[in-house]
Amino acid sequence: MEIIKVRNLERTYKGYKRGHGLKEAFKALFARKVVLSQALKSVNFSINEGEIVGFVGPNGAGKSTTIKILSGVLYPSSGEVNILGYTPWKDRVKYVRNIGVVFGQKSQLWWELPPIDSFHLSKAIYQIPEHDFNERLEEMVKMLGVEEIMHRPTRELSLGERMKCEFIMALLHRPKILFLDEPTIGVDAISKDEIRDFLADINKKEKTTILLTTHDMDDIEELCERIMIIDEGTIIYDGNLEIVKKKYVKWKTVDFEFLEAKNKKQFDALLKKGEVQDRRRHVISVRFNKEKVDVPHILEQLMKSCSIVDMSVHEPRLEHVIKEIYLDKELKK
Amino acid sequence: MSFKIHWMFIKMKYASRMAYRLDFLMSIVAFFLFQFIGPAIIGIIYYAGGEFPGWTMPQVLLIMGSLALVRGFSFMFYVGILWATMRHVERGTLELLFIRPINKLWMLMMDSFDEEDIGQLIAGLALTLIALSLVDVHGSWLLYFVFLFFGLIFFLSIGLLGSAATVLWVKTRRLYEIIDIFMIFASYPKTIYSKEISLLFTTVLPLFILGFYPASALLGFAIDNAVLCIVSVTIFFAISLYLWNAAFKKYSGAGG
Repeated sequence: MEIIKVRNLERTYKGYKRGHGLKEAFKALFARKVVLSQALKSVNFSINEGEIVGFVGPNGAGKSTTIKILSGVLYPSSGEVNILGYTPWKDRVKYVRNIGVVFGQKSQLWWELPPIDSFHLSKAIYQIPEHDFNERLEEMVKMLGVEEIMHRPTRELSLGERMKCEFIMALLHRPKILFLDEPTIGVDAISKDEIRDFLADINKKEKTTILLTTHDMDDIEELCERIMIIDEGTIIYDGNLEIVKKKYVKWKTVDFEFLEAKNKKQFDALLKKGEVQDRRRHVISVRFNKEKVDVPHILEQLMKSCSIVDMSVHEPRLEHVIKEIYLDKELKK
Repeated sequence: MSFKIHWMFIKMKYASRMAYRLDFLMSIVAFFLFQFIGPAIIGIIYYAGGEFPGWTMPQVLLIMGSLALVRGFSFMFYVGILWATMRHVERGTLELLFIRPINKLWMLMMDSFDEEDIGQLIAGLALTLIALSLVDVHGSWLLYFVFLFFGLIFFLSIGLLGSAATVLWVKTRRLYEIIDIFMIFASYPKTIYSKEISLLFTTVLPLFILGFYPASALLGFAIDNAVLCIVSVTIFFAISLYLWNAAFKKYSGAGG
C-alpha cells in the first residue's frame, strides 16, 4: 500500500548574487541581484508501507529540501504530496504525530539535561500514556544498549550515544514513517552497526516506513532494497539496489596470491584478458570486464594454470556505481 | 494540554539554567536592579525640586511600575521569539521545533521562554506595590487590567514583527534596540509631551498603553484617546501576526 505519494514537487529558493570585495559589498547594500535556484524540479515518487528507501545524491542535490517538505517544515513552490492522507505543510499539526525525524547534525535533546528529561517532554507532547511510555522506552533502551547514559547530561555523551538517544526521541510515539537525514554522520563504526541493526529491527517488527538520506553507502547496502538517486533537483534513478548494481557494475576484480605458474603461457594469456591493476611478485590484482569475458570460466582456468594460495573476488563499492550513474546522466545530456 | 506542555518547558528551562547557578542568580539580580535606574532618576528630579506638572513622584512611579510589569511578563514569556528565531534561523534548527505537533507560534514561544526575566517581572511587581502604597486609588481596577492586557499585546506584536523580520533577513540584531530607544518615552506622563508627540505615541507607536493609560485609569485621571490607542494596538497586532505568518510561509531553511 502506497503511503507516500509525491507528484511534480518543485521548490525554488530566492538568493542574492554579489561581486567580490568591499566595493561590491557596499554596492550590494543598495542594490542586489536576485538569483533564483531550483532545488527541486518536478520530483515524483511513491513509497509503500514498510519500505526502507535510500535517498542519495551529492550535496545540494535536493535531498534535505525533500525531507523538510515531507516533514511539513517547508512549503513547496508547487506540486502535491499525500502522506497517510495528509498534505504535510497544510495539515502539519495532525500529520507530524505520525512521523519521526532524525537530523544527523541537529539535536532534539536538551543539551544541559539528561536524555530521560527530553523523553518525558516527548511523552507530554505526544500524550503517550504512562504505561506505553515506560514499555516503549525500556524496549528501545535495551535494543540500543543505552541504559547507563539515560541520566547523564546530554553534553557529556559521545556522538554515538547521543545519536542513539536521538533515535529513541524520534520513535517514542511509534511513528508510522521515519525520515532520516544523514543519521550516521560522524558516528563510529560500532555505533553505526548498532543503529543499523536497530533500524532493521524496528522496520521488521513495526512495519515502519523509512526514508533515509546518507552519504554512507554502507547504510544503504545494509538497510535498503530500493534506492532513489537525486541530482540537481531531479530523480535520476529510482529502483531496486541489486538491479542497479547489476546494470552499472561492469567490472569484477580478482586478487590472488600464487606459488608458481604451472603453465606460464596459459597464465599470461589469461591475465591479458583483463587489466592488471597491481603486481608484486606472486600477488596480483586483475580487473575483468564482465560484459566481455566469462569471469567464472577465467577463474577456473586460472586455478589450473598456477598453484593458488589465496584468492578473493570483489565488485566496485556502491559509491562507484552511483558515480557511474551520474556520468551516464551527464553523457545523456 | 498545551499549558501542561508549556509548564514542562518552563521547568526544563529552569533545570537547564541551574547547571550554571552563579551565572543564573547574577542575571536575575542584574535584571532586577536594572529596573530601578529609571525610578532612581525620577527620585533625583523630585528631590531636586523638579516635577512633572500634575503628577506626584509616586504617581510617576506607578507609570514605571506598570511598564516594568508588562515588560517583565512579555520578555519572560514571548518577546524572546525575536532572538529565538534569529538563533534557529542562523543555525538551521527551526525545523526541530516544527516537527512537533504543536502550533508554530506556540512552540516558538515555549522555546523562547526567558527564565532570567523573572528578575524584571519581580522588579515591576515591587515597583507597582511600592507606588500603590503611596498613592490614592480613585479609578478603576478593571480598566487598569484592560490596559495592561493591551500592553502585553503590544509587546507580543513587537516580538512577532522582529521574528518575521529575522526569517526574511536572517540577521536583524539591532531591530529591538531601535524600538527600545523609544521605550523610554513610555515611562513618563503624556501631559509633558507636545500634541504631535502625544498623537504619535497614541497611534503610530502606541507606547502610552504600557504605563500612562494603566496608571491614569487607576488614579482616576483623564484617559482621553485611550480607545484610539487600543484600536492602534489591535491594528499593530493584526499586521504583525499577518506578517509573521507570511514570513514563516516563505521560510527556506538552512542547507539544501
